[in-house]
Amino acid sequence: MPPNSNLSYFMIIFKSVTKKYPPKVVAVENINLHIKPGEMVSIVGQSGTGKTTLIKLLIAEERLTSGSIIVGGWDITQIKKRERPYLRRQIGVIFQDFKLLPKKTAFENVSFALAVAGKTDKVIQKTVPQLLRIVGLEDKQDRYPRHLSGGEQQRVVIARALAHKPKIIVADEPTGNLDAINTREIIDLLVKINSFGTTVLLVTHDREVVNSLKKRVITLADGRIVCDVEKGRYVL
Amino acid sequence: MLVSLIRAIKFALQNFRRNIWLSAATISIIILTLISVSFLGFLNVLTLQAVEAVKDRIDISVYFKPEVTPQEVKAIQQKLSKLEKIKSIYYLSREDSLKLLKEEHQKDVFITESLAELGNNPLGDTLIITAYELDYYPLILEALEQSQYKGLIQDKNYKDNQAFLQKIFTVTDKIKKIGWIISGVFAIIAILIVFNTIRIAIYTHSEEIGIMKLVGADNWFIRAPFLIEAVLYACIGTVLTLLILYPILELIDPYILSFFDNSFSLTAYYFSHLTGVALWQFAGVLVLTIAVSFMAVGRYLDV
Repeated sequence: MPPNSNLSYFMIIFKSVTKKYPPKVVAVENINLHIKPGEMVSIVGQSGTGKTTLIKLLIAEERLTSGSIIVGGWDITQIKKRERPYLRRQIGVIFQDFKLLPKKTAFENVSFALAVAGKTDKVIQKTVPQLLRIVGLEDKQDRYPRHLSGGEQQRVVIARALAHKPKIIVADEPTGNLDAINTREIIDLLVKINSFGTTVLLVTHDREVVNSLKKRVITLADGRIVCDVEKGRYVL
Repeated sequence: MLVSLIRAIKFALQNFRRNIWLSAATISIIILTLISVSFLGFLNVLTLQAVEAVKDRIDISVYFKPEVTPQEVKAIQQKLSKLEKIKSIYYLSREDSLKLLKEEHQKDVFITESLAELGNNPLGDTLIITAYELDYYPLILEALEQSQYKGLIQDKNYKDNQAFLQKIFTVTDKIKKIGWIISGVFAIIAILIVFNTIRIAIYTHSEEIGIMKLVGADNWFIRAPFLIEAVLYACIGTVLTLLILYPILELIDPYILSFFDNSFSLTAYYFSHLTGVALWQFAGVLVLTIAVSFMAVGRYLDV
């Protein structure tokens, strides 16, 4: 347990979280994790160590086998299907494979996240250009994902993730499909977002990225936390 | 609520336009299905029409004894015409009967000589009765048999017609049954084709549906545009089918008119039943497309 035992103080809490897939595959086991508001945390580990499972559990894409997860004071352990959309509107997710809607333009992809929350057209017309400006894509808002480079697509994803002004941004291997220059730019964007007070959870196995951040690093191996260090490095 | 509805309509139209080939393919299948079902319907109508035409030619003749006066026969005709089951009664005088007999058998020496030898007209008056339904004939004859006129009747040609009538009964019943069976089988095939077409169309969106869920869309926000698109498919499919059917019917109508001696036109039938045809087609396709969309989208919503 960390020094501050007041649970409501933390943005994300994992308590003895275990996820097993039938028949006997253990994805993560007995994960205990407390993340403070405004923290930037890198979760590292080799492929298959359960990093992505943790993210899926956090956005209720998967149901945990045992334990509990609390996000912003909301116990999502037994979250109902109809409550999932509300949870997902509070967490901005950045995926390695972008997950953009292919038949919608950059503008429409970002505005979709606002539309699902019932925002009016007026709000959408005002907010989306601002978000695209933050990620440097204001001049490419009418392009479809297939007409954007990998780095540009990932920026659209970041703009979409920011649409709900979430308190948490979860980035699952956001630079996995990008070259070095685009990787740097995306990480800089995440650092900038974190500097505004947003909690950022970065899942990666990019050694250089982790070492350059000099932030908290949680290392997973075989589904368990083997190392949790403030201002850590990639040690595997 | 209104904002959500407008947004759903906007997304549906956008999907329709941006996946124009998929939309066109889906609508084409709906049109082909509706045209096939329509033609099966028309075939049923034509079959029943043909059966009715044969039925219309069937009647029974009641021959009265020569001593029954024309006044008595006409009085019976008037009384019978009040029966609901009888469509028409035609009075044929003994003179006309004789004329017809002579015309029909003018080359038959035996009959010609027999009539000449008799000198006077041996025939009585005749009533030719047409009923609304084939199964009314036995009832009408039974009524005559049990009436006060029984002694006035010389003969009836019902027995000669009975076997023929029975055959018509059997054939029409069989045609109706076969028509229903074929319609049923075809309806199932049509439903399966439309069902799979819509399912495939939605399958192509399965990944998108997953993404929508991950960015916080609730189920109805995702479903609504697909359901509106289903309504759009049904509307366009029905309207185009009705438009396409018209020239096809115009093309085949001359053959049908000539078959029915100009007494039945399929185009005229189509126009007189247009509202019904349109509503049935629209309602059928609408229920089908909406139900399939609902089910197919549901499969990908559990993310």
